[in-house]
Amino acid sequence: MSISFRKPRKMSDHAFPRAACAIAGAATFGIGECPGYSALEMTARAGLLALQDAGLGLADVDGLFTCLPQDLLGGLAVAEYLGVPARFVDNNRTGGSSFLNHLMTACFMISAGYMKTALICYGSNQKSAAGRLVSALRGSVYEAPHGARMPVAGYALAASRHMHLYGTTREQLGAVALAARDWARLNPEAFRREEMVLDDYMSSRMISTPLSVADCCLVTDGAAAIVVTALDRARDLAQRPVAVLGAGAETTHKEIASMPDLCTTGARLSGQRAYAAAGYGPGDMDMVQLYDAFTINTVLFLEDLGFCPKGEGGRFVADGAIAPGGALAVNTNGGGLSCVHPGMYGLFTLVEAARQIRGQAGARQLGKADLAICHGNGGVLSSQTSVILGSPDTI
Amino acid sequence: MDTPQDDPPPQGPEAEYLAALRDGRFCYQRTATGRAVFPPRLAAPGDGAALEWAQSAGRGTVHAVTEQPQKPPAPARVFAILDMDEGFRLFSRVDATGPVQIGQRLIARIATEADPPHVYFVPEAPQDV
Repeated sequence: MSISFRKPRKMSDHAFPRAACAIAGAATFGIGECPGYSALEMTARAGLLALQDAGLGLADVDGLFTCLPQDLLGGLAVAEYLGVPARFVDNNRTGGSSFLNHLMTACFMISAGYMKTALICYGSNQKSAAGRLVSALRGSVYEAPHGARMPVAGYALAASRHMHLYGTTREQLGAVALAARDWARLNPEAFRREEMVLDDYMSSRMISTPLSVADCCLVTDGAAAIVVTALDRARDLAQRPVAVLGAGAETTHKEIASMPDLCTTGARLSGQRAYAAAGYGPGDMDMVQLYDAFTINTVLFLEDLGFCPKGEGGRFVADGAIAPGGALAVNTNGGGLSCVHPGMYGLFTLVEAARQIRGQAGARQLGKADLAICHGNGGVLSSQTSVILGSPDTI
Repeated sequence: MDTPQDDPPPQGPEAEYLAALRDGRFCYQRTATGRAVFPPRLAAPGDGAALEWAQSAGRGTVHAVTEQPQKPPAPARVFAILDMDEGFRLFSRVDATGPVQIGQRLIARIATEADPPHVYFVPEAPQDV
């Protein structure tokens, strides 16, 4: 028997299997408060709901991608709990970007023929169980002894630098928080739906200057799941398929002191890779669903993903530009700031984009919703992953 | 990259760094070409170059800063990223009685008895009270 090795292709952003796979099912569960449920139970229920949405069953799932808030081997726990015949379990945990990385891996593995159906799922009961952010971050001996509240200090340091270099103001960060709230007010699932005005923002309690409570994501429970399969197969399932057109990732550091440039994130490269794979650019996007752990994230990611020049993010988001009816739809569910933040938000960006592209977003439905860039962030601006999703018309 | 061929040191760079702090020395590492590296490593990140220890003069400039209010009556706590004069960057608590600004000069103190021992910073020039 002779074994031949194919010469590896040159490494390329175009290596991503464009439109080979699609999101065939999507679901959320327990957004806000979900007392009486464990994180594992919430994860399992979101997974079951996403499979039902797709018109598939547990026996169809041969790839499982998950990470739980506290169980470092949660992938095994979910595999056992659901009883899926998983040929592969991915427990990659890069923080809130994990699930976009899961999707990237799943697309490569499905298109290569190793598996047919991937279930990507997550759930956390941090609000009901702990009443505070449950973070997997562990500080080193160089950071932990200083006793800072993390991860907020890391984001606050980036914000302080952005203000210093570019003149970004608290009012501009406030515009991010207000836009998120205005979107949440259109979303019956969102946890915070009461009106918020600039005075509310400006008078909110300071946590880590320049970031106040209103700059920080919520502490909620919540679960989400998506089902990913080959696009051709998804066309025969229950929902209109949402094609995965491109994806890219970049990691720059773990702790904030080692971030190469506090005002430029790995989203610049992850976004470039995703756009190159998809064959679309920022000007083509109908929406941006990004991980707004803090208001400064939205500013940094809109710059790094190409929606405005570096340093202009604060001015770009001012005056309702990213709110309902604004120039660019950002975080149409209300984001981590006003809809849901169970500890790792990334998967919710994909669910919201899928709902918009399928035309199932209710009162917040966009008029044109064919192309979305979803962006996940992990650690303290450390891990960045971008995914471009599209309707069948965009393929 | 330099392939490690010698016997490994009896302890890792983290333990060496902490031991130096206990002795009152704040150290960082540098390559033969003078590139500063921090936190301490077995090899320079990116190219794996060999590293040697050097003692820092402990002087740096505030690159970014945040203040975290505490429950009264405790004073707010200040945290900064510093650009050290030797060319490396680190995160630290700042003990200051007034506001700390980007660009301000700070000097290191060493908490030798803390567990783990660590450096923290104070303003280089006496502050107006």
